[in-house]
Amino acid sequence: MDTTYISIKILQWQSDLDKTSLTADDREEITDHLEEIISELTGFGLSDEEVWTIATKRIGSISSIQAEFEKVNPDITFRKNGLLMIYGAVLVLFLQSVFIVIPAFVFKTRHLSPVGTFTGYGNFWPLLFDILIFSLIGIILAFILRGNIITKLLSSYVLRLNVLSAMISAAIIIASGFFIIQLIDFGKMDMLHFIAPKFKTLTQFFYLGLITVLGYFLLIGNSPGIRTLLSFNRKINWKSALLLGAVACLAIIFSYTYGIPNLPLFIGCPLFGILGWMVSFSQKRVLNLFCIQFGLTLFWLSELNGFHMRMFSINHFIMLSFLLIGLFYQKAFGYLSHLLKTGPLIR
Amino acid sequence: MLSKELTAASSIPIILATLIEGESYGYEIIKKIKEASKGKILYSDGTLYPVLRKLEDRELILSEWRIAENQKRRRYYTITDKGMMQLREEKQSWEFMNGLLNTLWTPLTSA
Repeated sequence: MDTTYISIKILQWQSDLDKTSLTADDREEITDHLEEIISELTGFGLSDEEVWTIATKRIGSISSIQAEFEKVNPDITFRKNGLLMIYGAVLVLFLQSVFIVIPAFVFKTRHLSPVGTFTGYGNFWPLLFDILIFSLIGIILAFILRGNIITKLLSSYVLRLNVLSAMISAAIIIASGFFIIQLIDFGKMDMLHFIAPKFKTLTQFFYLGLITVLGYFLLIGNSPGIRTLLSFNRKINWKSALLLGAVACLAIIFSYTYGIPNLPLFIGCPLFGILGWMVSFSQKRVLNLFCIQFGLTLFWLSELNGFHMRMFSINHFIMLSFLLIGLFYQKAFGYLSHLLKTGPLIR
Repeated sequence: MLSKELTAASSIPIILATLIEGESYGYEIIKKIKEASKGKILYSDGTLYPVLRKLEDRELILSEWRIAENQKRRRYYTITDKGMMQLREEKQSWEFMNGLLNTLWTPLTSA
């Protein structure tokens, strides 16, 4: 049989399938199914055209397959829009930093003395602000005239760079947060040091929250196959384990900055307990476990020569034990509920 | 040929039932259903997969990618304990329906 016709048809069919919202795994599975139908049909002495017609009729039209998949996963547009929404917010933060916050911050630190009186600044600053005003007008005009192309270009780059664009975004969020907080400089205004710590918590929640939401949309937007927390847990790999561990570790590092006794434990233990529970569903548990605690261990090692080495070490090992408790929770719970239902396993 | 509605309503117990005897993959599941129904149930093969995803979300089945005998990657499905429980419940419901209909349409066969 001349298989060139069929091979070309399969390639065309695959490229149509690539345009759908199906995951790479789903596409591979369905293509494999189509090939099985074709190899089953080729034994009957049919022409290539006939084989192809029957095979595609049996597998069903691509649009009907996609429609069925969307019924299972109806929030696919929400996921894509959610990711673009977050990137939009990051873009605004970036523009705000470049045009407003950073110039103001640099101006303030260089030309305002601590008591608030001006020192001279020459011609540089008026010129810079003029340039910034004209660049802004340029950007606004570009968006009005060529907004369509710019948006398409931006979103295609953002989606292609994927994890890299997420990391750049996280860096922009952190930098923008840093400059704004420095610019506001609450610490100097709040002589009683009562409001400043609360303001610090507020800003940490705001910027860390933004990064978390970004990570969340990135995870679910990239993997339409992930529909529930449990199916996400099953698909945890070393990369997502590293990321999850790093975010949890970041939260713990922040909690150390408050100086409230045992706060890192109150935050770290439940976090790592949950992470352990999540890893217990995944395929390569040992590797994932190693990756998920990697950030925390790195942080602990960096503090080994420090003044509070003892406290850091104790906290570190308590958190790691919570990770293990989380890991075995599922098994222990299953065993206990079995025990309660049927009595002890060994009689 | 069976109606679309009946085919759709029975798809979950039918698919779960094909996995009772052990793991299987998409093409084989469809083949089993076609053979058992003597070709009277005809799904569009491609629409089986969204149902499999739904079953996996509900933890009635589990899937795993492995290398098949033809050296290609293939996704195998197995039924879970929860899936077996669901299947037993479905069996009771369908048997009840079957009994009910048999009682109600007795006059039809004797007439």
